[in-house]
Amino acid sequence: MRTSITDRGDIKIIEIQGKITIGEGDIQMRKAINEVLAAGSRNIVLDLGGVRYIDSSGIGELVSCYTTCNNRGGQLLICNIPPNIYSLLQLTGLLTVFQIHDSVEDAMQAFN
Amino acid sequence: MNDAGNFQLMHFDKSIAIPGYFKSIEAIYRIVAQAAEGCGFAKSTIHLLQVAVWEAFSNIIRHAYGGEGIGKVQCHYSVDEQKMTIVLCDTGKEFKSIHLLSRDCIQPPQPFATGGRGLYLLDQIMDEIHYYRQNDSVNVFVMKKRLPSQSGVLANKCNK
Repeated sequence: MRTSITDRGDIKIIEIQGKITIGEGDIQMRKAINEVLAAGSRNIVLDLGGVRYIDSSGIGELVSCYTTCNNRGGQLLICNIPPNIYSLLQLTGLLTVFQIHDSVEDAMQAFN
Repeated sequence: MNDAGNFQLMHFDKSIAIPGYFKSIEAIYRIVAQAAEGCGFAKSTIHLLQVAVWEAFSNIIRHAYGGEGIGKVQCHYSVDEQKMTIVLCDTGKEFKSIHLLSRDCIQPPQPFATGGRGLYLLDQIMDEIHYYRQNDSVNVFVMKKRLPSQSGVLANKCNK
């Protein structure tokens, strides 16, 4: 799994590529979020467009990242969710929990 | 590594034994995808089937064996006129919380819970899940999915 962080003004875009499964990707995603929060950023967009697989551990990690952001006064928006990942979030009832947008641009507009 | 026992209760179309490493799942993914494509499952369903099998497989490594590289996992699958059956066998610790597999016990997880979604996903994706302890040494986890079309012709095609 690879993560890349891009600055867009006071918004940080974290792009995830690969798998978010136990032992592969779940910890990297948490590290990326914590890194951004530690740097003082509070507006975060998580771009899942490059995610091929996610499992229950990865979904749990997404929830954990989401609550971590909220607890630190930040906001995490999720965008670009591939259809196979979307269906898993739907099955686990998380579509109404996360703030989900179609694209990075849509998520950025939501912040503005 | 311990060998996972052979599951003798029914005939299977294909069986493989793989080492108990997370990365070994790729071999099972290929088998599941190949079988499911032959059965006419949609790509989106095939992905869900792979997720279900991964959840069961990763539970074996984490909980039955307690880590990677401890034991093997046997994967069997078969297709009949009505359903596709996938069975994972291991020789790890017995799954004591069998009551958790009861439909009454599998509830939607709390929205902000960070765990407890694995069995729920399995239950949502598959039509049936069962667990047996065979000969007091082998864990047998059975997952069944109804075929999108239950015609005998299609099932025969899958078995070739």
